[in-house]
Amino acid sequence: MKKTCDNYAPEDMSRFVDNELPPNLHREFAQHLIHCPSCSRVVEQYRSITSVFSGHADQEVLKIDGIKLKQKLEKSLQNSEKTTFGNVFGLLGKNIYLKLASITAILMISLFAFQGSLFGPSGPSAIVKSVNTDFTSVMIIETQKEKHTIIWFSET
Amino acid sequence: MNKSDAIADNITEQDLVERLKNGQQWAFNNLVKTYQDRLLKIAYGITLDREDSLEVVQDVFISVFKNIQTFRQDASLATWLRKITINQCLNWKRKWKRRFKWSHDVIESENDKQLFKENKKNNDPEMLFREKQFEKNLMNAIKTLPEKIRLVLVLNAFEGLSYDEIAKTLNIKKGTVSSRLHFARKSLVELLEINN
Repeated sequence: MKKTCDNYAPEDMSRFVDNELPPNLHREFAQHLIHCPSCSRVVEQYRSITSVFSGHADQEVLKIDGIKLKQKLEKSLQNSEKTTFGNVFGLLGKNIYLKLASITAILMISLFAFQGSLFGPSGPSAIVKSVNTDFTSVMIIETQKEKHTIIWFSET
Repeated sequence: MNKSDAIADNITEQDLVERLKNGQQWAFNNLVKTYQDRLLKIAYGITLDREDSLEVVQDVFISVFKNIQTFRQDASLATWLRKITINQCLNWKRKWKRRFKWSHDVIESENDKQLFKENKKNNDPEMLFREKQFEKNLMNAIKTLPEKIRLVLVLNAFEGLSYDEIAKTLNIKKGTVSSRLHFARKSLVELLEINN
């Protein structure tokens, strides 16, 4: 039984043009096209689009100028080298004094920020003068604010 | 690009890649000579601009030369180049999207329906004029296609890739390739017929 246009999915025509239909369906659709001017016209339109678009692009594309491309490549390679050099040796670049000064400043700021924890207490935060106890003991005290540890030992 | 890609000066792809990895300028020239036409065509299909496609493909070759060490050869050089070109084009378009808008020429009324049928070489001046007009109308219609749709059409029409190959290249499903191609063709036919 011959199939009508309605028996085919709309995408089938596109898949037929691209040889993406299963072989049996491809043969069947090719037969259908012989007797169906409507589908035949659509298939022809689809093929024209491909060939005209491709032909247009062939005419439009320019050629690469080898000398210009070589110059562009060399420039790009030089830039890459500079970037790599800059990344590795950036700290020892032209403004070495400025950079050293900056590093020193950063270190100073860091030291002030971490003053307590780096150098320990700047002075006693608590003084325990006497403890009443009848036996030998050890006291470990941590100050509330600065978190300094005080170890006190008593021997009776 | 087909398996039968012939590399200029009769050297193998493997040899070309090795020479590129050694930084040989000769190999670079050979690479450009072998692949420029195809890559320029793909780039033109996506950017729809001659100058832009030239810039893009030049950047592709420079990028390939600089990054050839990362080429693992699990796909062919042509496939790798094609992917880089597509990515470069899409990035290029994104870069210029805000500044650039397609200029739409008024599509002149011509008998495009008839031209679909008569799209053959013809020396008749009137016929040649109509063919040119059809080409112009088609290109105006192609400009209106969304980029992702046109990209599939380019790979199909210019590179002759199968649905599987397109799906793999763009990391989409085969069914999506089929529907996008059908959508592209249907839309183009409609646009051309509206202006008839």
